Amino acid sequence: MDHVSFIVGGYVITFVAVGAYVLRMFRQARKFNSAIAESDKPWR
Amino acid sequence: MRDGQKQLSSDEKPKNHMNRLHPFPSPVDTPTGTRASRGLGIVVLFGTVMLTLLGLFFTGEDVVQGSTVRLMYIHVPTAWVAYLAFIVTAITSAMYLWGKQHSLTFDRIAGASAEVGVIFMGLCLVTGSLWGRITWGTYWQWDPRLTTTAFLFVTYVGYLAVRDLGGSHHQRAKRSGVIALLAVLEIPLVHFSVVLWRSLHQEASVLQPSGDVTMDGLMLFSLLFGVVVFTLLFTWMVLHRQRVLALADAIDDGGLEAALQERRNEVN
Repeated sequence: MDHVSFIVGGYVITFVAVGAYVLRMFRQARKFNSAIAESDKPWR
Repeated sequence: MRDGQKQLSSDEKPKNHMNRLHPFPSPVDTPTGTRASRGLGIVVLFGTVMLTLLGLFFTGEDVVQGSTVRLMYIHVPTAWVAYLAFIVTAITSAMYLWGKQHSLTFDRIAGASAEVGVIFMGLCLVTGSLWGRITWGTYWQWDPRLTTTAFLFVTYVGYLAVRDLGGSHHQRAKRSGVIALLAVLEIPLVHFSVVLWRSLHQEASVLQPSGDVTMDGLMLFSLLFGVVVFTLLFTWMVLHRQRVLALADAIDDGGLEAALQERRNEVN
C-alpha cells in the first residue's frame, strides 16, 4: 500500500476524534447525573 | 433547590451511582444510556471495525487513484453525516419554532446534531486534505468545493457559539433556530459547487445525474457500508448528546430556582 501514513492516519484521526468526543460527552453526563433526580431523566 | 433535586435517600440512589465510586467506570454504563442505545452502540462498534478492515485490507486499489481510494471510505461518509446533521438541525429547529408546544427537546436535538455535524465536517476537511496532499500535492487549495465546505464548517461553529450566548433556554432555541434555518441553505451550494464552478474536486461518484455507477462491486459496497455505519454512529451520538444537554438544562433550571428562592428569603 502506498502512502500508508496518510491513509492509516486518516482513519486514526477520524476514530480518535470521535472517541475523544464521546468520552468527553460521557464524562459530562456522569458529572451532571449526580446533581439531577431520576424524574428529570425520562429516558430511564 | 427544587423538589426533584433534593438529596436522594440511599434507596432512591440512581442505579449507576457506582460510577462515582469506581475510578474506572464501565464505558457502557452511562447515565444517558438505555438498553436500546447500548445495542445500537455495539452494532456501531462492530460496523466500525468491519469498515476499517474493508477499507484498509479487503478492497483493492483503484486504477487511477491507487491506494488513495481507501481514504474515500471514511471521507465520503463524514461529508454525508455532516450534511445529514445540519439538515436534522434545521428540521428540528423548525419543529421547535413552529410547533404548538415549543418543545425544548427539539432544540436540544438541533444543538446535539449541529455539534456532531461540526465534528464530522472537520473530519471531512482533514481526510480531504490528506487525500489532496497525495493527489494534488497540497493540503489545501482555495477550490470552490473546499472553500464552500470550510465556510459551512465555520458557519456551524458560529451557530454553536450563538447557542452559548446565554439567556433563557427558549431565547437560545429561538435565535439558534433562525440561524439553523438560514445556514442549511449553504448545503446545496457546497454540494453543487463542483458543477457550478470549475473545481479540482471530483464530481459525484455514485449519485450522478445519469444514474450510472462506475465503481467496482466491493468498493461500492464498502462505500455504502461506511455511509450506513456513520449514519448509525451519528444517531447514537445525537441520542446521547441531547440527553446530556437535557441534564445540563435541568441543572441550569435548578440553579435559577435556587437563586430565586435565596432572593425571596432575603426579601422576607
